[in-house]
Amino acid sequence: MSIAWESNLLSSGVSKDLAKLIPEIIDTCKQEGLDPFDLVIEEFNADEIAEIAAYGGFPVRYPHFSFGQQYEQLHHQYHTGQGKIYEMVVNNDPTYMYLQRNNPLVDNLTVVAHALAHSDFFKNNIMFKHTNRNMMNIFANHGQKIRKYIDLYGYNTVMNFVDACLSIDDLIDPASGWKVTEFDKPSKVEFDDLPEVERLEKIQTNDYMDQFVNTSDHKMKQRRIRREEKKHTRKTFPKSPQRDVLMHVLKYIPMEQWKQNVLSMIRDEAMYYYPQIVTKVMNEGWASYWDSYIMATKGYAGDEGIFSYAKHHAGVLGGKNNMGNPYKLGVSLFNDIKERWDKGRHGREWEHCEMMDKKRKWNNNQNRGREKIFEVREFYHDYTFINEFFTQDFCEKYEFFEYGLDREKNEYVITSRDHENIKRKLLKRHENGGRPIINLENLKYKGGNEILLRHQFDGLPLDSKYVENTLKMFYKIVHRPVNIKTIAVDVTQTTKYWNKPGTTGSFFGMNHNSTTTNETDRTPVIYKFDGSRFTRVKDERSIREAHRSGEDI
Amino acid sequence: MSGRRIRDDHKRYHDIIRDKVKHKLKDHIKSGKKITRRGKDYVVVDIPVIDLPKFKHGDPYHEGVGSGEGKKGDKVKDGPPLEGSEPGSPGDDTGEHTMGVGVPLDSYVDILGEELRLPKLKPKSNSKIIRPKIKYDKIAKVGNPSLVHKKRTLKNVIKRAIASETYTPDNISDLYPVPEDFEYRSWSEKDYPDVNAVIFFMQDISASMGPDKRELVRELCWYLECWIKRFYKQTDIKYMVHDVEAFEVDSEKFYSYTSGGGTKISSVFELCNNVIDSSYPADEWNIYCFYLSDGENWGDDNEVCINYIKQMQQSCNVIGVTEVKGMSDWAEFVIDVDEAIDTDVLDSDIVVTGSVNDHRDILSTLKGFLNVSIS
Repeated sequence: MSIAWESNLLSSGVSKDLAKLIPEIIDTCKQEGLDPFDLVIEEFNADEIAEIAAYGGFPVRYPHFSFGQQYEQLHHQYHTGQGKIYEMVVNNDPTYMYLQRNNPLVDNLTVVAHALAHSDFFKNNIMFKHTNRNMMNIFANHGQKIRKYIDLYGYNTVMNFVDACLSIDDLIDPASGWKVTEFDKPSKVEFDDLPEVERLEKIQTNDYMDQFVNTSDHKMKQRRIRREEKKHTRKTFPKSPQRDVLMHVLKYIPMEQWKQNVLSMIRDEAMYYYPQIVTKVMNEGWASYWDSYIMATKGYAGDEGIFSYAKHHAGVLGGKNNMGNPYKLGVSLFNDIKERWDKGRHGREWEHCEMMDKKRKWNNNQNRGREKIFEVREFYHDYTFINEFFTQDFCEKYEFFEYGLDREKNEYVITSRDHENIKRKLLKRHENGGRPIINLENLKYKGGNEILLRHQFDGLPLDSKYVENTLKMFYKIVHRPVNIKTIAVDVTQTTKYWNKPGTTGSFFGMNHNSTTTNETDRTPVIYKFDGSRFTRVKDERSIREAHRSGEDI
Repeated sequence: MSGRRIRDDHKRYHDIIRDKVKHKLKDHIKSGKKITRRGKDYVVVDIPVIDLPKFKHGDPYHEGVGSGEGKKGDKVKDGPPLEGSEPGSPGDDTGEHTMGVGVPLDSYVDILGEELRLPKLKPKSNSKIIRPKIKYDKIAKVGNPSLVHKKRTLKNVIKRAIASETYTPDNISDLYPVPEDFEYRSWSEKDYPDVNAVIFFMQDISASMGPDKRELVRELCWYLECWIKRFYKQTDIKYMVHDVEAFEVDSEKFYSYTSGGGTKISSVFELCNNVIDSSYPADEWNIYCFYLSDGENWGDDNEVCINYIKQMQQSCNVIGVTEVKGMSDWAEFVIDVDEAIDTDVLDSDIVVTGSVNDHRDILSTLKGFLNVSIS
C-alpha cells in the first residue's frame, strides 16, 4: 500500500502536513479492523475536482453533454457558495481518492478516513462482489472506442444513440453478476429453432397393458396438449419474464456492430454503478461512522481542529431533522446498531420485554457492537438494512413522520407517525434504488414484431410522460414497436366539511372540521410507441384475468 | 488535469441549452422579473435540468417521509406548483428541477437590447481625443526573432540562390538564410478618435428613501450601466449622493449610505456641474447623468435645479431624472422638470424624466432614457 500512495503523493503534490499524517491514519484504520484496497490520493483545485466529479470520478470517459451539465452545476454551486465537494472515491483497485486542495487540513484528514471506509465497503460488501475492480481502464477504453465511432459515423449519430442507451440503462439484471455462466451458454438455439415437440408422452407400462392404457383417445389428448404448448411457446420468447432486458436486446435484436458495442459498454457501466445506487445509505453511513470515530477518538484533529471538524461534520450531515440525507440516515442506523449490540438490546428477550423502565436501563454488556456492524457492512444492502434495523425505537428517537399533500392549502402536512407506514414508504424508496422494476415479457409480441415489457407494479405507477419519452428512446435502439404493461393510478381527492358540534360557524370560518379521502382508481394499461404514435390502451386481458381469479387489481 | 475534456462536454451542453437560455431571458425581460445576478461579468438564470428520460415512478399520492418535530397537520413544505400557474409549453422540459447557469453579461445585454429594441448609443461626433493605435502592417529589416516573416525570408533565400546560380529544385534543403535575408514584421501607429463615456449616478439619500426604493435604484443603475458600457471602450462611473449637501462616493457607499437629513436637490446638480467642468470636458467625453430620488424637495429649490440642468444640457448626452415611488403630494421635482421641458426651457432631446414604482417599470424607464440619445 505504502508505495502506491507515496509515489503518487510526490507526483501530485499533496501538502506536506497531510502527507505526514496519511500513513498514521491508514494504520489506525487497519488496526480498527477496516480492510481497504490500496489507496492513491491526489489533490486538486476546485475546478479540477468539479471536472472529475462530473465524470463520476473517472479521468477519462466518453464524451457526453450530461457531464458538461454536471460540471456546470458543481462549478456554479462552488462559486456561489452553495456547496463544495469534499471528496471523490472510486471503486477500483487501487482505490482512487481525490481531495480538494483548498479545504482545511482537518477536512482533508477526515476525508481520508472517510474514503478508507468507502474503500473497505467496496472491497467487502457483498453487492460489490462482482464489480470490475479495473474500471479506470475500462472506462478509458469505452471513451476511446466511442471517440473512434464518432470519427467514423459522425458526432450526432453516435451521441443520439448513446442518449437512447443511457435512457434505458437501468433495465439490467443486477443479479446477472452471480449467474454469468447462464449467459455464456449458447442459448441462441432456443430462439432460432425452437425445440422439436417431444414424442408423445406414453405412460410407461408393459407390452400387455399398453393397448389398454395408451388408448387412441389418450394419444389424441396428448397430441392436442402438445399442439397447444407449441403454439404458446412460439408466441412468447423468452419463456419466462427476464429482468435483463438489455442483454436480451443485445442478443436477439439485430443491429449494427458498433451499436451493439456501444449498448454493451453502457450496460457494463450501468452494472458497475448499480451496487453503489442500492447501497448509498449504507456506504455513506459506514464512511461517516468511521470518519467521526477516527477523528473524534484518535486526536488527529487537535484542539483547534476539532472545531473545524465539527463544522465539516455538521455541514455534511445537516441538522437532526434531516433524514432525507443518506449520510445522516446511514450513520444514525450504524450508531444505533452499535449501541443495541453493545448493550444486548436485541433478540427475543428484548422484544418481548414490556417493562419500559427495565428497557431503558437494559445493558447486559454484550459488547458485540463492533462485530455486528462489520457483519452488517458485509451482508446487507439498503433495502435489507432498513428492513431489519429501522425499528420502532429508532423511528421514535429520530422523530420520523410521513406527510401528504393538503390540496386545499397546497401544502405538504404531517399525516402520521406510524412506524409501519413510515418503514414501508422508506423501503419503497430504497427498493431497487428507487427505480421501477421492469421485466422483458415478450420479444415476439403480436406476431413476433413487437416487444412487450412489463412493469412490476408495487403500488406506485409509472410516470406516463417519462414512459412516452423512454419508449421513444427504446424505439431508436430496436426499431420495432415497443409496449409496456403497467397499471395506471388516478387519485381523486374529496374533502368533506362539517361544523364542529355545538357551533354555528360559517363555512368559511374556522369552525369546521374536514376530512380528506383519497380515492384511487387503478386500471391496467398498455403504453405503446410504434415509431410514430404513442398510445395508451386498457389492458383488457389483464382485467379479464384479474376478474377471473377474483383478485383486486 | 488538462480540463480539455470537460471543456468539450461543457461547450456541447451550452450549445444545447443556448436557445433555452435565450427564451428564458426573454421571458424574464417581458415579465419584468428580476434577474438573480451574480458576478461581475455574468448573470445567472435558472433553466430546467436536462435529464434523459427513464422509466420512473409517478407520484399520484403526493406523500413522503421526513423527520423532525411537529404534530399532525403541521406544514412540512410548500405544495407542488398548481397546474396552469406556470406559463409556457411543457414541451420537452421533463424535469421540474432547475439549475442556475451563468450567462456572459455581454450576451445578456445583447438579448436585452434586442428584446426591448434599445437604441444603439451614438457617441458625439465632435470627439477631440485622439489616441494612437498600433497595427502590425509593415516590414522591417531588423527586429525580434519571434517576429520573423518566414515567407518573405524564405523567398529572399531562394532569390539569392537563383541570383548566385546555385539553385536547383533538388538542393532546396541545402538552402539557409544569411542575416541579410531576414525580414521582420513591424508596426505603424495610426491615430483614431477615441470615444469615452462617463456616467453620473446621483441619488437622494435622505430619510425618505427607504430600502425598497434603494433596491429599485440599484436595479435601474445596473441596467443603465450594462447598456452604456456596451458601447464605449472606457466608461467612468461617478456616484454622488446628497441630502442637503452633496458628496462623491464609491459604489458601495452609494447603495448603502443613508442620512437623516433634509433634501436639497440642487446641491448634487451643482456638484455634478463642477465635476463635469473640471474633469470631463464636453468635447472629449460622452456624459450621461441620471438622477434618482423620490422627488421630494424644498419648494423653491426646484428653480435652482432647473437652472443647473439647463447649464448641464450643453455638455451632456442624456440627463435622466427619475422619481422612485414618488408620493404625489410632495414630489414636485419631476413635475417641475416636465413643465420646464414642455415650455422649452430644457431641451427635450437631452433631458428626460421617468418614474419607477415597482420592478416592472424599470425596463420601460430604461428604454425611455436611452431612446432620447438617438435623435
